[in-house]
Order: sequence, then structure tokens, then C-alpha cells
Amino acid sequence: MKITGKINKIYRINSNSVLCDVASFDKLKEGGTVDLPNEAAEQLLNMGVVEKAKSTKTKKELTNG
Amino acid sequence: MADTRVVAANSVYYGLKAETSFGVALDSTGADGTAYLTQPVVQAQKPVFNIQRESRLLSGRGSVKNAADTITNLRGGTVTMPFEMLATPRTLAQHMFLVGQENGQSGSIAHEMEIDGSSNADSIGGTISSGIPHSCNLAYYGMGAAEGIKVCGVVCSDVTISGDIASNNGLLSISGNYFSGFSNPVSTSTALEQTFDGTWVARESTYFNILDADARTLDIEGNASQTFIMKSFSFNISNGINRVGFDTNGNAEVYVFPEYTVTGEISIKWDDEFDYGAANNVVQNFLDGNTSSLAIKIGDGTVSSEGEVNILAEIQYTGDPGQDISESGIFHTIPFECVQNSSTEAFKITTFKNEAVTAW
Repeated sequence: MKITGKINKIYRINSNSVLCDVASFDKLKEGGTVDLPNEAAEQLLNMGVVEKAKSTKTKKELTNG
Repeated sequence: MADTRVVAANSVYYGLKAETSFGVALDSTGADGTAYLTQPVVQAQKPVFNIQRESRLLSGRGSVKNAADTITNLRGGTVTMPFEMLATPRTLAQHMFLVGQENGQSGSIAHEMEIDGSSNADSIGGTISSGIPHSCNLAYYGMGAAEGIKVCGVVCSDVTISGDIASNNGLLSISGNYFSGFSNPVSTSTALEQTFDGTWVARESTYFNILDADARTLDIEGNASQTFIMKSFSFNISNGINRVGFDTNGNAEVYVFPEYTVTGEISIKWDDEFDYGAANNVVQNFLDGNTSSLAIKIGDGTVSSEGEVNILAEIQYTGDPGQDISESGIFHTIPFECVQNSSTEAFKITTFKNEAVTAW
């Protein structure tokens, strides 16, 4: 699941106490988006310190002929 | 040879788990497999059994009491236990519930406890529905199998919430006392020599930092919501609990909460918003008996993530503000009590924990 960190909230979380790996956690603390296993993502979502990443679907270009 | 076993101070721990029937053990089938919520204390204090003991020197016994003339009565007593810990999202919400016997939930999930003269339970002891009203089994353990103590019907008689930038690294702490009217050990309730073999829920590791308190406002004289610079604050919430009645084991049938009181103290800086001048005079505010709205919000005020809490209180000074004089300047130390003011709650605390009460 892709999640995005909330900069003003996630800093309160002890990175050693969550399922998220350190590199991903660091990225979340900077407000970045990471793709985590569902269990790890759900844990942070439950804490209210991340949000589900907004999907950025790209439209397929129509090709003529 | 004497036994060499040592029980280290921090090897003993305790946990809480909400009851589904007042004063009844969640698991009384031998070893207790309940998944207790481990409490994040540094050192767990032992539950104290306050029972009645009668001892008389009867006539004709000579000059010392006789062993036959003492009576120990386990019925009608109480069990108490002090606690102190850094507040975590669940512990803060649950302990507010245990002392205030009121819980409102909104969103996913902000827990609100208010003291307003009508929402808080006057008594408990009847049916428990979805964790309301709230009483717990308390498990004191860690020293060895069959040495644990289980106390049922546990609520809080008082809880103090404290925040001080100069202690605990600015982290919010809670302390107080647990209370139970189930002092007579029986197989289905309070029990000694108990083994706990459930998988306990781990301690939380998110805290509340008062240095995150972005919104701090207090009314002063006619000026509403003046922003203050804070050094420390505390709120003491007490419910005056009494145990009433006796079941077939002599344990309580009802707890009565005759009066909820909230008192406290806050230390704020002497500056242009809180001084001894016209319109911002802390002494005049006391002399006038003004009621002032106090708000302390740790976080952005939305209470939407762990580590955030809003405290709103309607305070009236209970004494002339004193002074805390240090190299940081002069601070007003304002003692107060919280009072209901029309529809404004005497005290209201909202904190975030994305768990229903039934999970506690």
C-alpha cells in the first residue's frame, strides 16, 4: 500500500516501535510517499501519522490506426 | 541455605483489561489467559488490601493480646494501588475514562471525556455495555508463576495530568490511584496466587510532548483567549468514590461517585498579556472571581493522530497568583478549580487512539 507521511505528525512516532523499515520511515518523515506491506502501512494509518497516497493514474493515449 | 532468588525492581509489571461484568474476572478457569494491556510504568506498585482487622485485649487475658481475640474481615474492604507513568494515547484515554466514567467517540477515533455535572456516572455496578461504564481487571505479575495478584472491579479514584517543560523532557505524565471494592479473594473475582499466561498487549511508545502545545490560551479579565507562554501545568481529577453494598462474598455491589472535582495549577509568564496592569491583571481576575476558559492543545488542535490532545477547562482562581522567580523571568503560578459555567464544561479532554473502548 502506498502511503504519504504527514510531516507535522509523524515526527512523534518512535521509528523503533513500528513495522516500517528505517529507510521508508525517514522518507515518510520528509513527507514522501512509500510503498509498504499492508500491515506496516495500516499500523501508521491507525496512528494518524500518514495518509493513503493519492493515486496518480495516467491516461492512456489513444492511438489512431 | 537461604534462597538466592532476587526479584528485580522492574521485573514486576501490571496490566489492565476492561471488564464485561462488574467485578467479575475475565478468565477464572485457572491460569488467566487474558490479553492484558501492559502499562508503561517504571516500577509497578503492589496492590494494597485495605481490610478490617479487629484486635482487642479482653478482660482476663493478662497483659498481652491473645491470638484468639483477633478478627480479620475480608468483606467490605477496598484494594488500592498507586501508579505513575508517561501518558500514551491509550493510557491517557483509558485512565480519563476510569476516573471520569464518561467517554465520547468521534471519527476514527477521538476519545473525549468531559466533566460537566451531568454526563459522568453517579454510580456503577450494573450492566456493562461495550465497555461502558468502565471497570477493569488488574493483573500484577512478573515475579513467577502462581504469584500474581488479580484485582477486579478496578477504576481510578483520582488521576493527575502533569506537564512541565523542565521534567520528563516535557512529556505529559499521569499519576493517581486505582480503587477496587473487591477485597475478598474468590475464584471468580479478585484472586491471589494467580498465574497469567495470556499474550499481553505491548506498551505503547508514542507520548505527548508539551513542547508541541501550539495553542495555549487563557481568558484574563475581559480579554478572551490571550496566548500565554507556559512553564508547567497540572490537573487533578477526583471522583470521591465510595464502595456500597455487599454481595454474597462481601464485595461491593455498587460504586458511588458523589462529586467530581478538578483542581490544578498553571505557571505562565508575566508579560503584556498577563500582568498587574489594567485589563490583564491576574490579581484583579482572582479578586473578581472571574471564570476563565483555559485551552492547551498539544498538536494542531485537530486531535487526529497519536500524541495529540486538547484540554479545555473552565477555571476559577482559588488563590492569589503566586510567583515563580528564576533566570527565565517571573512566572505567575495560578491555582484553580474547574467549574461548570452554563453550557461550558468544567473540564474536557480529547485525545486520539484509533481503538474502540471495547479493545481496552
